[in-house]
Order: sequence, then structure tokens, then C-alpha cells
Amino acid sequence: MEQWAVISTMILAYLGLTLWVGLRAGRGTSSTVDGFVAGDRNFGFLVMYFVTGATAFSAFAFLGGPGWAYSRGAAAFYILSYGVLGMAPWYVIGPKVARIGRQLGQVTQAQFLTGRFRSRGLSLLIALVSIAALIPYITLQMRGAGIVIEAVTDGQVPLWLGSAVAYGIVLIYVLVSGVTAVGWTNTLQGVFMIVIAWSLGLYLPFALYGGIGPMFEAIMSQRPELLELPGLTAAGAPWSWAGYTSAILVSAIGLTMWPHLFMKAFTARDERIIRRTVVWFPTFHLFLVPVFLIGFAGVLFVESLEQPDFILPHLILNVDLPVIVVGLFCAGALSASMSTGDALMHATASVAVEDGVRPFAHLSEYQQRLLIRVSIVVAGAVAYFFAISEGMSLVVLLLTSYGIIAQLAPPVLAALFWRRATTPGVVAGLLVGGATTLLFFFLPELKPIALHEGLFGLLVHVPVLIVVSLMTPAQDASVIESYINPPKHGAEVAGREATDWGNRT
Amino acid sequence: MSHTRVLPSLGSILARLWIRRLAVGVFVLNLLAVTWPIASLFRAAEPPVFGLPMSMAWPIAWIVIGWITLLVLDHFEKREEGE
Repeated sequence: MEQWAVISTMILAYLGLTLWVGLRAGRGTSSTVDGFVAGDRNFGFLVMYFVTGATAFSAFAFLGGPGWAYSRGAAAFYILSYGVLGMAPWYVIGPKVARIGRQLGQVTQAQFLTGRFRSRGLSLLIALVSIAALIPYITLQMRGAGIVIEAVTDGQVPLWLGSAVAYGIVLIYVLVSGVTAVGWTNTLQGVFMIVIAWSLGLYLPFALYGGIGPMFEAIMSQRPELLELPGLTAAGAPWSWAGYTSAILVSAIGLTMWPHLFMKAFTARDERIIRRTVVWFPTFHLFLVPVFLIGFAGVLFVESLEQPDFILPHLILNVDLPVIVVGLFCAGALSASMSTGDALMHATASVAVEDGVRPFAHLSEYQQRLLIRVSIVVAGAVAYFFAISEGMSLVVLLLTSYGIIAQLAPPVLAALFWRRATTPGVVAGLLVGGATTLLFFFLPELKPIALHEGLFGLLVHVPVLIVVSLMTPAQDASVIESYINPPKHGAEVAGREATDWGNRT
Repeated sequence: MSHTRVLPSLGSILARLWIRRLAVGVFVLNLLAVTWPIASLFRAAEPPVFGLPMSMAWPIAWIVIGWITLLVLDHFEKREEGE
């Protein structure tokens, strides 16, 4: 049998296993919106650990991580630096969000925010921002899956077909089992990612250089600039400390504000599980260490690759590895792509319906679930269209969306910790912060210093939020109280009445 | 749920407050340590730490410190929740 046929068989076996797990997962979950979007708030620790880890690390980490280490060297270490910093505040915020969500029947981030800052416009604004940020993210995951499959099968399975098969399977299990499928498949995929990253990350330096120490000594003697902070830019010039530092800040602030991660607070069985997930997240984050080792292993072996993101497939295919290793690598990369892609597709559709449509039209539970499923297909189709069309600068789009997503942090913090925050203040802050971020993204020459555009957005956002809030009348005390001090054992709302907008007529 | 300890002792409340402050302090230190200007003191590859360049070992060390901090914090918070 040809090598590519063996590898294709392994990929199919892996995809079959994922599908089986995803389909089985949905059994026992209620057929309600709560069940489909928030898994009946019944995720245990193991599933939450892998959902958080595998969702946070996407194809971007598995393919882009080695690519950064290979082409930009120490610049990649900013990713090591922001993860735990970004996750630690969730130890306090996550359980509080979960408690409020349980009491007020919320399943999305916009519902959480509009529960305190009541405005349909705000709900729609957050929905649009989220979808605009999530679609390029899904597209990247699909492309990642297609590229890997095309590379390891010698082009026998082209990108369009590889993406279609991998994401066809994601579509099936998400449609059937909702977020519960995301949970259980991410557990499987998370295990794959960790095991494969560590095995390859330790194996390659030994196979190519005789060890990790000798590998870095060799790089040190020939490319010392790669190992010195803050590393290089994509063009190969030295990166600035301002760029490196603000990338850490914006990423740390934005990390848990991504809708597909934020929403997972509503899936946890209890608050203790969220805390434990945060406590153990650093162990998942360390998975970046072998990922970077893989990238560094390529430095002296692969002559300047046009697209550094392909360093991993390139190395794998050119170092004469046993076919089983190539197949496993492929499964790892697909795991990374699909474990983020499924959560993204699910979140995009849930947000579109719950926050974009429901505030404006009355829908029955059945209609909501149906519409969410239809939206999953639409989101998948749109992303697939972008994934197979060439010439889209998606990585740039994704990096900007981090700046936009970070703008959701001030409203979330204000909702939880600042009594005087008001709806006009939050809306004004979001609009001004978002606009500033976009302005400096499109016209970077206007930047006074080389900081991340999202940081400029926040620097304008926060004062506007504070000033406009203070200029407008304070909110109803009972609403404020239910957010600042949510009762520990408050009554749960029957069904999801509290998230209704009163347009039942 | 056990009702043996209805009122937590003053000592345990103080210990918890102290641990929380300590945790916040560690993460502020973490932020300062991995960003400019402090990170620039650890910019070089040499001396290597366990075979890794110092510039890489430094943020890894902070992941481990952050993890230990969260473990300690959680240990005290858990005890308070009576689990």
C-alpha cells in the first residue's frame, strides 16, 4: 500500500472515532436550548479541563506555534507568557458569571451583559462583533485541517476535500449533540494534542540534533538573534519591546472574553469545577513548550520556508519518519483544528440566534433550536467558502479580532464590580473602543508608539465608559445587586424567562 | 453538608484574606516579569537552563509559579467552602 493510502486510512479511522464519540455524547442531554447551548449546565471537571485547553489551543497553536518559533524565534514566547495571566482572573470571574447565568437563565455572553445593561442594541452589537471575530477564526481552522491533509497525502486529497470531510464530521456531531459533543470530542482531541505534541517535541530535537541542549547550542552558534527576546517580526527585523509587551497584554485581557470560551462558564456543573479548571490550566498551557521545540528543530534543517506555518508538515515529511508518526501527527493537527472549530461554529450560531435574533422576535424553544442548527450550517458554509478561496489574509484578521474581543473586558468587569456603570456608558465605551482599534489597524502610521491597536482601543474605552456612566443616572439597585453580590443559593429562574425581552405578544 | 463549623474562625478568615492578596501580588509580579522592562533583563539565550535558552526558560518558570500559586490559593478557598 502506498504511504499516502496508509496515512489516509489512519485519518479516516481517527475521524470515525471522533464522530462516534460526538454522536454518543448527546445521549442523556435534554432537547432544550439550555441542553443544546449550555449542556444542561452539567459538565464535570475532566470535560471542562479539556474543553478549556483544547478550545484555547487551535490549529493556530499547533501549526502557527512551530511556525512562529521557526521564523520569529523568541517572539513566540509571548504566547507562553500570556496564557496563565489571562486565565487567572477567571478564577474569580468565571464562578460569578456561572452563578448569575444559572440564576437568570443565561447561555451567552451578550445575555450576561444585557441582563445588567438592558439594551437590544447592545445585544445586537455584541452579536455582530462576535460573529465578525468568529468567522475568520473558523475559516483558519478549516484551512488548517485541509492543508495538513493535503500535505500528508502528497496532494492526493486536495484542501477542499480534506476540509469538507473533517468539517462535515464536525457539522454532524455538533448538529446532533450540541455543546455536549463539543465537550466529549474535545476531551478526546485534547488528549491527542497533548500526547502527540510532547512526543514529537521531544523526539525531533533528539532525532535531528541529539538532544534539546545540543539543538539550542547549534542554533546559538548560527542564528543567535532567534533566541534573544523580543525576537523578530514576520519580515525578519527585530521586534520592538512595545509590540511584544502589548501583545501579551491584549491577548491576556482578550483570552477569556472570546465568546466560545466565555460561554463555557454556563456549561459547568458547579462553581468549584470552574475554579479547578483554572487551577489546572497551566498544565495544558505547557503544551506550547514541545510545540516550540518542534519549530526550533526546523531552524537549521529547513531552508527559509515561504509559508512558515507549514514548518511542521514540512519537517514531518522530510525527516524520514515512520509512517505511523506521520499519521499521528496528522491526527494531532486535526484534533487541534477541530476541537476549536466545533466550539467556534457552535458559539457563532448560538450567539447569532440568542443575541442577534431573539431580542427582536419571539421564538419558541423548538424554533430557537431549529434556527441555531440552521445557523451552524450557514456559519460553516460561509467559513468553508472563505477557506477554499485564496488570497484572504486571515491571520491578520484574526490578530485584529483579538483587539476587538478585548473590548468586551471592560463591560464584563463593570457589570460584575462597578455599581455606578450604566447602559449608555457601556455602549459608548464599546463603540469608541472598537472604532479606535479599527482606526489604528487600518492606519497604523497614526500610532504614536508601536503598541497593539487593541491597547489603544482600551485606553480610550475605559475613560469613556467611566465618564458617560457618571453622567447618566444610576441603575435600578436590585439589578446591580444581582450582579455585584449574586446570592449563593438564589432561586433559579424557571426555564429561561429572565432572558426574554417581553415581546411575547 | 456538615454543620459542625457554622462560624469560621477569625484565624481562617485572616489566612484566606492574606492568601488572596498574596495570589494577586504574585500575578502582578508575573505580569511585570514577562513584560518590558523586567523581561529585558532575561532577554539573552545564555546561560542555558536545563538545556533551554534563558529567554524561554523565564516565561516557562512563570507558568509553573502561576500554577503553584493557583494550587495554594485553591487549597485555602476550598477549605473555606467546606468541601
